[in-house]
Amino acid sequence: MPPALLRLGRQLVLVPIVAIASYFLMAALPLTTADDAKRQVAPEVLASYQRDLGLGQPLGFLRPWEKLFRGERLGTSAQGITGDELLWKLSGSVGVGLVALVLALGWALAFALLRARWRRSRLSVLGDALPAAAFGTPVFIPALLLAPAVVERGHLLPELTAAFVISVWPGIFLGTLVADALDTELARDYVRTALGKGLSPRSVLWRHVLPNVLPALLDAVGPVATALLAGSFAAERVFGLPYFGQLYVLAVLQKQVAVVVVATTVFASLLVLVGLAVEFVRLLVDPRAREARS
Amino acid sequence: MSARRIPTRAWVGLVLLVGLGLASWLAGRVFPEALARTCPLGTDPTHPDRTVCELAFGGLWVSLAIGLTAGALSTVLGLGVAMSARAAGARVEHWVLRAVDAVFALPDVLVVMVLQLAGQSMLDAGHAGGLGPFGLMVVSLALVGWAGPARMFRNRLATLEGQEFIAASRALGAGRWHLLRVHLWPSLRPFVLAVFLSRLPTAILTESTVSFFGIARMEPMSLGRYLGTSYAALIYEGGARVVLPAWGLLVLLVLGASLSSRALGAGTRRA
Amino acid sequence: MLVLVLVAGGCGRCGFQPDPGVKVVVPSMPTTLDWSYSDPTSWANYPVMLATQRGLTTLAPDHSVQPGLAERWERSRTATGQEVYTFHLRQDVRWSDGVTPLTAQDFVIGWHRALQGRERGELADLAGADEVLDLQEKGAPPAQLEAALARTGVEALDPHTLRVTLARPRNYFLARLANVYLFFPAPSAVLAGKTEEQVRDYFDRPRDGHPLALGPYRVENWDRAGERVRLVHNPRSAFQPPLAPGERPAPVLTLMKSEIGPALYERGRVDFVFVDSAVALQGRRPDDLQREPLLSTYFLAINTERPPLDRPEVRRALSHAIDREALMKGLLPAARPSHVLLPPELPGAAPPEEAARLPHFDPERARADLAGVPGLDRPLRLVYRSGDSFVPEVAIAERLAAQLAAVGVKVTLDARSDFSAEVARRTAEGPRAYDLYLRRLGADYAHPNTFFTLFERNGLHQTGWETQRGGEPMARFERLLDEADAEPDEARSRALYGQAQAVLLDEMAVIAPLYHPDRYFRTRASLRGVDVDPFNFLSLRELRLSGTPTEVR
Repeated sequence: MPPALLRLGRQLVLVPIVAIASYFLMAALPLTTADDAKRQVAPEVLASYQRDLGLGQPLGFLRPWEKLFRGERLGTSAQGITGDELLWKLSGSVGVGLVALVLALGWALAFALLRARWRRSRLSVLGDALPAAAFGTPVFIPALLLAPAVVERGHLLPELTAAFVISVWPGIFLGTLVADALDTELARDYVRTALGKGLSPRSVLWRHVLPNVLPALLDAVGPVATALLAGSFAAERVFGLPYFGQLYVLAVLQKQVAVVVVATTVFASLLVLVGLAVEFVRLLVDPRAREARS
Repeated sequence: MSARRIPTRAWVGLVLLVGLGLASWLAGRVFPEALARTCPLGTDPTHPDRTVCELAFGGLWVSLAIGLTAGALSTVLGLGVAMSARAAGARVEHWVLRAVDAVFALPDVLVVMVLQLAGQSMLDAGHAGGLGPFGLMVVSLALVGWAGPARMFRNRLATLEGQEFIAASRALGAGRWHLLRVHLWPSLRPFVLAVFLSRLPTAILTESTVSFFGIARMEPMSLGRYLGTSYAALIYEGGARVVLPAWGLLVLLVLGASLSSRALGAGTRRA
Repeated sequence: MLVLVLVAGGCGRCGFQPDPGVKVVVPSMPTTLDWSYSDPTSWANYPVMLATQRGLTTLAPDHSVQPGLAERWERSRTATGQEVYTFHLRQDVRWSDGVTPLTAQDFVIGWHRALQGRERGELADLAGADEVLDLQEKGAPPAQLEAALARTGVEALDPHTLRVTLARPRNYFLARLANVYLFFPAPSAVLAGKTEEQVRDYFDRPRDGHPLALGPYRVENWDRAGERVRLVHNPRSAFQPPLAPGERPAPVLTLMKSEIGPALYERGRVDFVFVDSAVALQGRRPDDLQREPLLSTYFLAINTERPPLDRPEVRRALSHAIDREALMKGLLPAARPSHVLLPPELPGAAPPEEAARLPHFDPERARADLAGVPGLDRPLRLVYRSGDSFVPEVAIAERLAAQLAAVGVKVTLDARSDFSAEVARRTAEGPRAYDLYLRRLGADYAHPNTFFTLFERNGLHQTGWETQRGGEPMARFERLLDEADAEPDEARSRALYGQAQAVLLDEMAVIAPLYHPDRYFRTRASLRGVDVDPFNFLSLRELRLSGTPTEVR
C-alpha cells in the first residue's frame, strides 16, 4: 500500500526533525558547572563537559547517539544514563501511560453517557462545571493529595494512582468530544428509525450510535496521549517514580543536553507510534477509512 | 453579532471572567492595602509579610494579563497561519498542516520549559530584544499555543468554504482575498473569540506547571507561579488555606473561559 | 480495562518496589560516588561518603581531632619550612571484601587521583601540588604530569606508614583529614591496571560488593534518575557503630528523595526526614522534632565592581541598615541573627567585644552615610536561590528589600534556579551582572579557615573584591590568613583570623552576615545514633537499630 507507506514516512519525518531541533536548542543554552563549591572549577573540567556533548564539533549532534549505541553513559555521572536504563525507564512510563489511556477512555465514555443523561435535567450545569474543575486543577494538586497514601507502598500502587491522576483531565476532555459527537448522532434519523422500530434505547446506543462516535474518539487519542505524557512529568515527580518523566525533567533542569536530545527524540517516536496505532485501529473499526484506502 | 444570538451560558461565563478580572484589578492593583488588612486567611508561610489574599488576587491579575496577551497572540498567529495556508493553495496548505501537527504533537509544558530555559539565558545575555520575564513567558506560551487554533481555524474555514453561498460568490468571480474578507470573516468572528477564550486557561495552567518544575521567573508572582510553588503546603496542617484560594480562583477562571468559549463555539456551529 | 488493571496488579515484581530497610529522606542525591575524583557539588555526597569511608583522623563532638585510620602521628618541620606528618595506620583495617588490607599506598593512589579530579584545588596545601595543578592548567603531556605527581608530598614509607609533606605549616590540616573526603584512601589493589574510564565506572556503578568500603556501611545500589541510594551493612568494617544491649546495625539503609518526605514520615513509611518547609515549622511542632545549630553563616554579598556599590562606605552603610533581629523574627522556631562571619560556637571565633566593633544595625548611621551618594537611584538587583531550602530565603529577601527601602535603597528581587551561574555571569562591560546576592556558607570542618576559603582570590565569592584598590586589601587578607593558618599558638592565630574577618566585613564590607542557620529534622526513636552534625552532614556512621527486627519492619 504506497499511500499507507507515504503516511508512515510523513509520521516518521517528525523523529529526526525533533532530534536535531532539540539538540540545537539545548546546545544554545549556557552550561552551568559552578555550584556550591567554595573554589573555582578548573577550565579543563569545563572543556571536558563540552567534549562530552560534542559541542562545537561538526556533526556534534550525532555524538549522544554514538555514545548511546556504544553503551556508554550519557551526560555527567550523576544524571547520566545508559541505553538499557533508558529502556527500563521508558517501559515504566509507557506502562503507566497505557493504564492511564485505558482509564481515560473509560472516563470519556462514562462522562459522555452521563452528560447525555444530564442534558435535559437540572444537573446539566455539571456538564460544564466538571470539565472546568478537572481542567482547572493542575495534575500536581490531586497527585499531592493522594501521594502520602501510596508512596513507598509498592504493589504498583503509586503507578496506578499516578495513572489515575493523570487520566482525569484528558479523560474528561475526551468525554466532552465524545458527548458532542453523541449529541449529533442521537439527533440523526437512523436513531429515530431504530427507536421507532421498537429497539430499546440501550441497544440503540451500544449497537448503533457508539460505533459511529468511535472515529471522533480516535481523532482525539493523539492529543490525549500527549497530554498523558505531559501529566506524567508532574505526577512522577510527586509520586517519586523513577521513570521517564522524572528523567526528562531532571535532564532539562540540569541542562544535560545529551540526555534531553535522546529523551525528546524517544518521546517524539513514541507519539509517532501512537499515531500509527490509531491509524491501524481506525482501519479496523471505521469502514469509511477502509474505503478511502482501497 | 447581536446580543440576542449569544447564549445565556456565554453571558454567565463572560460575567464571571470580567468579574474576576475586575476583582483582581481592584484588589491586587487599586486597593492592595485594604485587601491585606481584611484578609481572613492570614499570611502566607513562605512570604510572612504578605497575606494569602494579596498573593492570590495579585497573582490572578498577573495571570490574567499573561493569559490574555498570550491567548490573543496565539489566536492571531493561528488565524494568520490558517488563512495564509488556505489562501496559498493545496500544496502549501498540506505542508503547513504537517508542521502544525508536529508542533501540536509535543506537550506544551515540555516545549515551554525548553523555550523558557533558552529565553532566560538570552535574557541574561541581554539578547532578549527588550523582553522581560513577562514578555518571555507570553512569547513562549504563544509559540506553543498557535498550533491548536491554526488547526481549528483551518478546519472551520474549510467547512465554511464548502457552503453554497461561497461557491456562488466564487462562481461570480470573487477572488480569494475578497471571499475571506467579505464572506468568511464575519461568520468566523465569534469562533475566533471562542478559540481565544479557550486559550486563556491553557496558558495560565501551562505557566503554573512550568513554575511547579521551578523554571518560570514571573515577578510579581502570577497565580500559576503562586500555586506551583506553594502547592506543597497541602500536605501540612493548615496548608489548605494557602492552596485552596488560589486553586479555587483558577477553577473559576477556567469555568468562566470554558463556559463562554463553548457557548460561543456552539452558537456559531448552529448559526 | 479491568483485566489490564488486574494483570498489572498481579504482576508483583515488575513495578517499582519500595526499598527495604531503614529509609532516610535526603534533600538531594549524591552526584558521584567517586570520592577521590569528586564533583563540584560535593556537599550532596557527604552523607554517603561519611557512612562508607573513613579518614586518617576523626572529629569528636567537641570538635577535637581524634585518631581514625591512623592510630597515631608525628608532626615536624623541615629546614625549608615545610610541615611533615608521619601517620601510622591501624593494622587491623580491611576493605569490605574482608581480604584487602588498608595500606599506605591506598592514600597515595587516592590523593594522586584527587589531584587530578574536579576539586583538586582542595589539595593545594600538599607540597608539590601547585606544580601538578599548573601542569594540568597548561594541558601538559601525561608523562610530565606523572612525574610531578610522584614528587608531591604523599609517600608510602611502608605498608602502614604514610608520610605527608605540606608546602607550609597548616594548623587546620588534621581537622580537614576527618571530613573532607578527597583525603580518604582508595582501594589501590582493586584499581590497579584500570583505565581512568574504568575507574570512574567502578565507583559510579556499584555492583558485586564494589566499590569497597571501610565504614560501617557500603553502597550496594545507586539509581540515579530514581534518586535512591541503597547502603548495606559492612560487617567487616573496623568501625562498627557502638552497640548497646538490644541494638544492632541496620542491615539495609535507603537514601531517597521525596517531595512529600514529612507526610511519609507521619505515616510511618520513612524513618528520618529533614523538616525544611516554613509551613511545617510554623504549625504544631511534633515531639520528635530536633534542632541542630549549624556551624554556618547566611550572608548578603555585594558586587564591589558596580557603582554605587564600588565604594566601601556604601557597602558598609548597607550592612548598617539591616536589622537582623527583625529580619528573622517569626520565621523559624528559633534563630541566631548575627552580624559576624564566624559563628560563636566555632573554636577560634572572635570574642564578643571584637564582634561589637564590626558593622551592625545602626539605621541613623546608614542614612547619614547614604545621603547624597550618587547612583543610588538605580534599583539594585538581589539574586537568591529559588526552590526549597531550609533557609527561608524568600522571606529574608523580601524583608531585606523592605529594610533597605527604608534607608532609600531600592531593591528588586530575582529568584533563580540557576543561582550559581547567574551570580558568576558577567556583563559585556566586564563586572558581574548582579548587585547583591544571598548565600549560605557552611563549615566543612571545625576551624575558622573553612569560612575564609570562599573569599580568597581563587574562591567562588564572585564579589570582585580582589580588584578593589588595586588588590591591596585582598593581598593583606590572604597574608593574614596565611599567617593565621601557619600559627601554632591558638590565641595569636585567633587574633589574626579576627583581623581577616574585620578586613572582609568592616574595612571592605564585601559581605553582610545575617544569621547562623539551624537544621530541623525528625527521626524515629528506634533509630539510634543518626544525627545531623554541625556541618549539616547527615551522619549515618553510628546508625543502629534498637528493638526486635519485627518491630522495625
